[in-house]
Amino acid sequence: MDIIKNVEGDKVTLALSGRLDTTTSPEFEAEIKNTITQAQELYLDLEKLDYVSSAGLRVFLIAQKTMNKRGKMVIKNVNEIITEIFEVTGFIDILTIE
Amino acid sequence: MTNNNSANGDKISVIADIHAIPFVNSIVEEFLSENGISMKIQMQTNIVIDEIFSNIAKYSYGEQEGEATLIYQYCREESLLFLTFKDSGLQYNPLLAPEPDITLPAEDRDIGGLGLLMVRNIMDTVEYLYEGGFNILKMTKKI
Repeated sequence: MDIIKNVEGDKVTLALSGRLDTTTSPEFEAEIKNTITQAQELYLDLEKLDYVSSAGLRVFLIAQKTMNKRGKMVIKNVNEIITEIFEVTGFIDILTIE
Repeated sequence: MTNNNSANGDKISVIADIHAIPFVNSIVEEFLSENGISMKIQMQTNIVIDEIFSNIAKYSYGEQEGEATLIYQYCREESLLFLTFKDSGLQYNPLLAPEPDITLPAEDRDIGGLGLLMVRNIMDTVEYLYEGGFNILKMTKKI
């Protein structure tokens, strides 16, 4: 998995590519924890992300809970596979997806 | 490749460690691709492997080292994919675990049980057996 970070003031975009799963989610979690301290608006661009397993959902949940207090988090460009995952796990109701 | 009247496939055994998951995924992805199975189903199969292998790696053997096996088969005539996971760790039937409440707000959410929920959604049948000292999780998916 690769993460490209783009910072514009307190608006941060993380563009993820590859697979967010058990082996790659620790790297994503570290980046999220680092980013969250500087962001009031967090955008996650999933255009190039193939899929998310429950290990990745856990990090989305941590990020969402934190950003609910600090500002907002928006998830963009979600593919069909990941949309189904968000639907079946009910994450579609707790995440803001554009 | 075997004849057209039976399922073709193979078996892979690895040390039950999360770092073995990408290797298992790559073997199964290649197999599915050779059988003309779509990229979407390849990726969904990766999710299933990630969820089940990570559970075995984290919980099945405690601090001990153990083995995890995946038998993967595809029956072209019936368009059926078979996945069977085996480990010889602690006896545990994941299908008896309570289902997570997916209607709670973010603040009250826990991620426990989501992996299995995803597996059950991706696969059409999931069955657990304990046989000869092995936890056996058998699944099928109509392609």
